[in-house]
Amino acid sequence: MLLPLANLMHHKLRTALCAAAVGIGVGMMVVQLSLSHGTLNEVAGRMESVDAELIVLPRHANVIFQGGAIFPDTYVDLIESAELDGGPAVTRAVPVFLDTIRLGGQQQRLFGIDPDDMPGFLGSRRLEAGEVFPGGRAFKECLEALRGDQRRYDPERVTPEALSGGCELMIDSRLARVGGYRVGDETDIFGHRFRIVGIVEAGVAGRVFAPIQTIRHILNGGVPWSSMFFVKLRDPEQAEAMADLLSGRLNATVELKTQYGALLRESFAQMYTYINLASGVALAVCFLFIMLTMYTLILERTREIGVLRSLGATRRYVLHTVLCESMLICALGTAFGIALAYGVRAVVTVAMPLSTVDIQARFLMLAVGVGLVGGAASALYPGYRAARLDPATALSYE
Amino acid sequence: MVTARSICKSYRDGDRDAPVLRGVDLDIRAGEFVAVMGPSGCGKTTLLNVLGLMTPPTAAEGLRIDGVDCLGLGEQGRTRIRRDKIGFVFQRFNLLRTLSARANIELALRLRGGPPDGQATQALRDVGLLDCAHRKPGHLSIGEQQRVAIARAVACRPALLLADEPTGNLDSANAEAVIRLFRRFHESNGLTIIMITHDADCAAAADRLLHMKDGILEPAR
Repeated sequence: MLLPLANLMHHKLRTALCAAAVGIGVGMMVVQLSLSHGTLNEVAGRMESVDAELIVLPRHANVIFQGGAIFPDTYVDLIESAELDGGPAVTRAVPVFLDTIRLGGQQQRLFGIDPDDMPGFLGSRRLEAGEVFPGGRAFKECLEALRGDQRRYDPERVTPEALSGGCELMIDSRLARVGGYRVGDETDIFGHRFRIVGIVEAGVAGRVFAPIQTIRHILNGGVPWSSMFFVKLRDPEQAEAMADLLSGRLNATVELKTQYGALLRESFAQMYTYINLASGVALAVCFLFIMLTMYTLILERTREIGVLRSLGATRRYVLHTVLCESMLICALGTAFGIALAYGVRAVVTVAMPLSTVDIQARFLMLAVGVGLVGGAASALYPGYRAARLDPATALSYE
Repeated sequence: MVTARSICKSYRDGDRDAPVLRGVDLDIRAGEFVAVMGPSGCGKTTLLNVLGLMTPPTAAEGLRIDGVDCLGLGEQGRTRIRRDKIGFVFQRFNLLRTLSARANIELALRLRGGPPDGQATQALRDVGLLDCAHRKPGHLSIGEQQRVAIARAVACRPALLLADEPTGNLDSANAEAVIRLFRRFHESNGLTIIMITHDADCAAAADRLLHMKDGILEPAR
């Protein structure tokens, strides 16, 4: 170890450049993995925070770009009437109308939900400011009055004043911080003026909520269709059995809520392929750089290798020395890459607060593994060349 | 100490073999100090490389070093003999430039398998460079570098010291100091030395002088 260390210390700039090359590759890999997995896991975690056991999604839908309402209101009855073991099994089918809006400088998924279902979405999270859809509740009551005992109401009978009262948003604290939003602020969505009436602690299913009645009225002519359902069961233990039952009964995908993360990852499979490919190419370039450097070092040190052999160093010792040197560079580079990843996380937290860089232990272990294996692999050929040098020829090398 | 019989060595030169050693016979007793002189290109360095097991002969009838038959040895065996029995001193010193004087000596001692203990210090003291122990070769004069190289070679207490023009790059004062060191190690430790030199004054310090010409070794006196 003495000689490799001394060689590295002797060529400080070269060592630093090589370590930086490895560090950038390793850091890029860790950041890409942490950003993609972190953001998806954060979204999945938020969805899993809803007080329900199952989710009902359109069949073959991509969960990332899902929007619009394809489930008629009859689905609520179909779901809620499902029975297991001869008795009712569903407590509630919670309809959600999904769409996309721009808020806080980026696209946000809007969750249209019934104001009365909000507690199920809040769970243990606090309402940090404002109220839960005061105008939304009034608008819901207004529509119910218009509907009477019919399934539908006449949208023409809804006055602009009544609709205006229902144009409310609730946002999470993270989006509020990013956009600088406060309760009482207003923003234009779907051609209507929406007012922020509540800010909830981050971690709820969506970053933006609106009364589902308002969204249906504006986007769907009041037709009470939905994008998806959360299904709350009487007995959570029956989740898998009920998922099977509903899958057969509905023309829809029924999954355990805990599977939402897997569905997300499945939807992002191609992106993961790209990320892995990009990381792989970046790492390959880094290790080729190390290989080239080690190869150049071997050429430069041919005479030194001859000296070592004259002193009685075995081929294995020479190979070991080259490997050690390369692995020390890569260990240094890996440490730098990990530090770089933490640095990028700090920057992302400030510059892109809605993104989540979740640096997991398994990514760090992967980085260490890739760094060391890459270091060893890229030194193998130069090391082999060095070990095979004829001592006399090496000594006469100019 | 060294017995060589009909040592031949050729190198490939394009599509033909270029003979460098043409049947060298050599007998050197333990504790003898032998100088080899000869014109450039006559095969002196090649002979030293063969005797130092740095390169195998193309053909030979016998090669024994300190009682070991070296002709049948493989790469590992040659490396072991080189490590345990032979020390080298080169014209260009060949110190590892990234290591200090002491670390250069300690590395040689470690390669031999033992902890350096006080041997590196003793070797540096023997060549009068204890004060320079922590200096790297780049911060030593050429005379000092050669003395460190000698310290490195003798620290391992080799049975045989092979020196390839050890004074070739030195001024006369440093050359004289190097030869004095050789004589001292030879006389006090009974070190067997084979030294290649172009310098007749240096050669005069040896017990015996051999001449080499066209790949053949012949006695000079």
